[in-house]
Amino acid sequence: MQSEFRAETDTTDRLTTVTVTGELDLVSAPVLERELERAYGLDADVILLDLRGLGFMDSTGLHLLVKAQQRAEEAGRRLALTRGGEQVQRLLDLTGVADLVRIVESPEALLEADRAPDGP
Amino acid sequence: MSSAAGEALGLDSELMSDINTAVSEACNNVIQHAYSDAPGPFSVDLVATATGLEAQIRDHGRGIREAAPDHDGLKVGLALMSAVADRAEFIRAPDGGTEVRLCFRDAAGAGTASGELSSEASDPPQVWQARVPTGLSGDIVLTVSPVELLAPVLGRIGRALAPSAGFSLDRCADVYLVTDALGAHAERAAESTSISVALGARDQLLEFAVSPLRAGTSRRLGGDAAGLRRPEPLKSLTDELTVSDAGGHELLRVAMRDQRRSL
Repeated sequence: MQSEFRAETDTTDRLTTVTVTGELDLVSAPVLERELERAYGLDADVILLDLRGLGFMDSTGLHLLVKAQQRAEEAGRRLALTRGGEQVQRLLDLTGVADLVRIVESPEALLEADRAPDGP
Repeated sequence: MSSAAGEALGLDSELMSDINTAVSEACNNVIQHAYSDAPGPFSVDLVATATGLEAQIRDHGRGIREAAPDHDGLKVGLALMSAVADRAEFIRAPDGGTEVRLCFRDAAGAGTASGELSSEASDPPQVWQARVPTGLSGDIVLTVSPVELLAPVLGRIGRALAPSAGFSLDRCADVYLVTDALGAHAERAAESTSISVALGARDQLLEFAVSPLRAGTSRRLGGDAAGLRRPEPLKSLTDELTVSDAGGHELLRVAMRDQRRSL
């Protein structure tokens, strides 16, 4: 049962992490939108949307992720995602959104990659 | 979301997940776009076939083109349905509404070695006539066959509809618990191999009417006179539960209100 939706923000000087759990759909998308808007206003350059606890996403959620990517750029931030559940990843792959957004396995992997001298 | 029912039917989890994706998108489209002002009636039929599943979603609204031709969300939804289904057809119904037909092949099922859908195999003419005359009416009438398909899809449909009732996020989270309990009851008590659920949404009220159920199977949910209690979610998360006779079968109706909304 993954119906309880939560979006929580945690920030350090380098990274703002928005952790999303439950299902991202018509009901919950506005909650995440508000949380992301708050994240753009924080200092960290990189915003990580942690989808590992996300069990389901519909096109409303997908649309929100695409908008979030654009919005992050406008705010001078970089957006990355951690891989979500099977259905979430399938949606990202099928629609090509997986190619547009940076996807990492974990927050640690993101920090690690950014630390590497030849990192993106 | 549990795919236990899908597994029980021998359907793989990716297929059940795709069906949920597509059915959610179809419902979202109808709820957001088919009717100009408020959600209008539509039906969802889901039938397991020898090779997978067939879904049909019909509304009597204004048609996809007129609804929101440049709406990004609508486009993404249609693209998603087309992507997850092996075949997707969007048909303009004579009344101006839209009929979406989706065909899913079960990768684990027989005859899918090629992964291709031959026109011969993709044409099961009986499926679209397999409608159960239950006399149910609501914003959405969902009919599934076999009954085990109910629980996996009813939750998503309920959740797609809940915002139309003005439900808060917290109350929306309860919808799955109720739909799972209804699905479990339907599996035990269905009169035949198919079951229908009418869903209705209005001001802070979400209603589910389930039929046809075998006579005498639902009355005991209404109280504990026979020492048999309502399954917990139907007891604690619903506000009304009534059982009535529908032509020799039972019709179970439960209603959820969003009481917390007024706080």
